[in-house]
Amino acid sequence: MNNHLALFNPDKWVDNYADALYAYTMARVNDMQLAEDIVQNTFLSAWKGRETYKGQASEKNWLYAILKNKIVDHFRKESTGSLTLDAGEEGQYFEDGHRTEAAAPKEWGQYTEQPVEKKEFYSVLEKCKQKLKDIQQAVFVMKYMEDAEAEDICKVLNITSSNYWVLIHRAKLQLRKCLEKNWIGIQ
Amino acid sequence: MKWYRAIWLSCEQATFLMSKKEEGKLVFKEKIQLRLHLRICDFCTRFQRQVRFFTRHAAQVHEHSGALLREEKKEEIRGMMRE
Repeated sequence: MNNHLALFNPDKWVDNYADALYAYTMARVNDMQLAEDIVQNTFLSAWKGRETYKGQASEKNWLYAILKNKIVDHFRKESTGSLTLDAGEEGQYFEDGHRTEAAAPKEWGQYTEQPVEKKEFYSVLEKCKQKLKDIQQAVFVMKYMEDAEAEDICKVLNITSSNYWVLIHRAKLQLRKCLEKNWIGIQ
Repeated sequence: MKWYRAIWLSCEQATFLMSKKEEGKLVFKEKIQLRLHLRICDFCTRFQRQVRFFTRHAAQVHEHSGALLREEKKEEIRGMMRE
């Protein structure tokens, strides 16, 4: 099927997609008000642009494409462009380049080998992600949840590639530690 | 053991290079250094496995959250789309 026009039904958009688009957005921006605004703007943009829909993508994918653009726009606006990284945040994980005792990864065992269906894993991951600094979250979300290229992420956030590497490294160190403490710990 | 010092990475450097590797940004020397480090360091091997695990699942968080848009908001959006 390469034309989806027959299934294009704006009257049903809110019923069919509002919750899914909202959940998708919340997981990426963690702010209810903001997520609501983004979803609302997505529907309005889609509604205004409905004449331009040619049916190449499914209605659902078309709406998601608009939504994903709005999410990236949010990160772009949020990024001030004047980023100063505190030196030595890695100090809680490394001393002279060596792992500190507290930061040495414990064995997670079977949990990383089975398919993850457990709801608590995802809710812990979401909570741990929320504890990251805004800019680290933005980098993490775009890289691992939106599957963007590092170069594009740097452009959107107006950061250098060396800052990008530092931010993504710190985000991973912090998330891993948080998951170990709050998810593995409760098994 | 001078050659060894010249190419041995600290754990901090090794974990840093793992991110660059994901983007295919390692130069030849770094590839060798990281491979050697991972062969010897159990902690970094474990770190890499754990990070891969949660980054691979991050994109599915929303499928498990059960978050719903408020009904009032839905009504507001429906209203705006009628205008």
